[in-house]
Amino acid sequence: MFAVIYGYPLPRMWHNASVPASDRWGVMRRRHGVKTRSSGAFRQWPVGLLVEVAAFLVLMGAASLIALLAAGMA
Amino acid sequence: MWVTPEKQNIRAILHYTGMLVLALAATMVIPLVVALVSQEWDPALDYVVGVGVTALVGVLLVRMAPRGTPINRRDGLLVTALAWLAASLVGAIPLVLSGHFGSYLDACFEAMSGFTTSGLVLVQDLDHLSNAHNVWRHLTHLIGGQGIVVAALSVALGMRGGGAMSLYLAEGRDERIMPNVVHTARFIWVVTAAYVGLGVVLLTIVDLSLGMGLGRSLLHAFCNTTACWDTGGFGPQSQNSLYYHSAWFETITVMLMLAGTMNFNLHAHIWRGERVELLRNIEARTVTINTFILSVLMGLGLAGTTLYASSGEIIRKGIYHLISASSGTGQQTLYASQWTGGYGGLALVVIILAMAFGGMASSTAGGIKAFRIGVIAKGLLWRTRAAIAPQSAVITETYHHFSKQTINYELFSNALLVAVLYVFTYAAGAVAGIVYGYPPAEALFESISAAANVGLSTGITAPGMPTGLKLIYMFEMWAGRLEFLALFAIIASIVAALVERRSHS
Amino acid sequence: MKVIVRIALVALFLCAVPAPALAFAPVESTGAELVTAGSGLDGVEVTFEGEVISEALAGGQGHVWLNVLSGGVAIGVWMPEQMAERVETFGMWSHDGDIVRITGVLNEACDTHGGDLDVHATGLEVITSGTPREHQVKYWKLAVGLVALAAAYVIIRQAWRREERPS
Repeated sequence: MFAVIYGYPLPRMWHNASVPASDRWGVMRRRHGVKTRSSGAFRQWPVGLLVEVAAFLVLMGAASLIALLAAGMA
Repeated sequence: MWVTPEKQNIRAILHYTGMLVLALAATMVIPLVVALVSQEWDPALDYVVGVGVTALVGVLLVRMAPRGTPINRRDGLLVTALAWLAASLVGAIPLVLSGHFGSYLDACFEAMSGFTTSGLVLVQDLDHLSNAHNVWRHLTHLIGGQGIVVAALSVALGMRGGGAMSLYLAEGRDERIMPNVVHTARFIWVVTAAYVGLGVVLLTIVDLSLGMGLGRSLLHAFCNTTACWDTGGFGPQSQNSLYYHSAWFETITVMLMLAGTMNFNLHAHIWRGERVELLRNIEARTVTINTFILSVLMGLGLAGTTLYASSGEIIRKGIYHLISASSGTGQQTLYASQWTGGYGGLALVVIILAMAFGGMASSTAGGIKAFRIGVIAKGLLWRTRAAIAPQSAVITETYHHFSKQTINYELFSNALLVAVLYVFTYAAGAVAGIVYGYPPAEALFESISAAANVGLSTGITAPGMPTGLKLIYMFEMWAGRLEFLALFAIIASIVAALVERRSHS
Repeated sequence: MKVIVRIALVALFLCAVPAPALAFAPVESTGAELVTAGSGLDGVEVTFEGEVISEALAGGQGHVWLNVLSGGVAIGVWMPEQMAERVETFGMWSHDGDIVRITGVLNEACDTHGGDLDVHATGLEVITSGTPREHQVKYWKLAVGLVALAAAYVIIRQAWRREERPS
């Protein structure tokens, strides 16, 4: 079904910005110093996942501890 | 000056809405396969009807304009607003055929709740629902959570350009995560695959250890993983998370909720190795500070109750629901009447605040969102400093959001505007509930739950609810998911078009 | 005098002998009532009827959880494994589960189970056995679906042909 739907010409862009679309990302990059390596995110994914899971555990643990401490004070 | 859509633009809008509807028809094949595998023949036919009718509706819309029709930013907004509505209308078709809904409106409510990742339910006899229908309900979370638009975009080969970007931006995601919108969409799918994979594996292990069979374990694991990662809130059983009576289950799902409430751009930075962003980012900081403050209040609140004062209960009923509310998930291990019953008081207020504030931007969470809360807080600090400083001094307040940025009036006022709109919606929904005769606390709770796409319920949302209130909550869920801008765009366009037609005739 | 003292001492002794207390009958209830906050049944022995659904889940310490659907509401009932073995059919899409009568103590926020609302069962009685559920296959749905799909295909083919034709 997808081959049938998507085998057709790309929609043309309509925009009235003064910056050509091809360089919009470049402008944003220079303005904000945004890093744009997209392949890096895919390569390091297990490490990133582990770091996030660790962060969540720390947050959950800290929140629980804080709640218990607050309850102990009550 | 109101720019009204011309006939060509309307056709383009309908064309792209139709494309998304067609993509939805394709996804209905998944529950069809589940039905066939589970030997649920009548539900399988529900999905044959679903695929057929949805495809027909999609095709009728697509033929409104030729392929490759240009689309601008304004029209992209309208497509996004319409997409949620259209998805709910067609997504409800197999649900209403299941016989577990009081009416087509109830099924539309459920579908809207699914796609907007809210989680309020009107399904009846959920414990006897077929696997296929349960999978479809949870699939709506996955589809809606990833963004119907993003889903379609990531499959579309090389749909580059302003049109695609505007559809993406109109979804309320204002982050440019990757140089190319297609890369962005694909990255979102990679993160999703990783967390859904992790969630399914861990929850299958938990379910197997609870004594569930392999098939059911996988089914439940899939349902609960999508419900938590997409911060939806549906569950395969009527007791929601209480069904499992398992602390392990709750721990794993809380982690998935936190993962789901995280800004996708933040995921990208951490996965690229820029881990210090986690500590510096304004949203991460806001969520952390918010959670800690609310944890203190939750501890105080529950300690004051007679039922939930032990340490295990403070964590499993207090912190669990705090994160469920704040992330906008809505998984619940309490029965509806217990919120204002044994829970009540300060703890209830904490949950209401957590729901109202919401999770991070560019995620599936709802509410005012951490970014805006952070900006508002920084903005207040900025104006306060400016007020006490000498006239000629130039005060700047900065924050870190993937790069160092400065608070300015535009940012501050935009954040305040949307926050006000949310609060107004919460209040209006609450007033509607009160007018229909429900108690004020419950009405406020339910209204915020709908508008912030949370899904916790005090019991107002039930099949016997007044029709008007069903429509109001559906509207709130829709408005909250679109973050108002796209919704106002569609209303303004319709009104302006009608006014123009009247002035010409 | 000594006789009176002896009688008094014997009477006092008899008072200390443990005797069976008056057993209050369990309160008849439904699931819907049990989950209503402030029902006044917290810690009270209740009895209710309902359908056992889904499956028995491990509950630790040689116990299992049975989820019983009563009055439209499902409640978790914690009981020894042997008690649960009497249940044969569990309710789901394909079946109506066994109807059972549960007697047990309601906990509005069970301290053993992290504040969950549950019933610790002291008795289970199977009233009716479960039966398979009838799901009649409605073939008109197949017709509607296929016709709609065919119509969609025809319409889109026609639309694309019209686009390709130079006008």
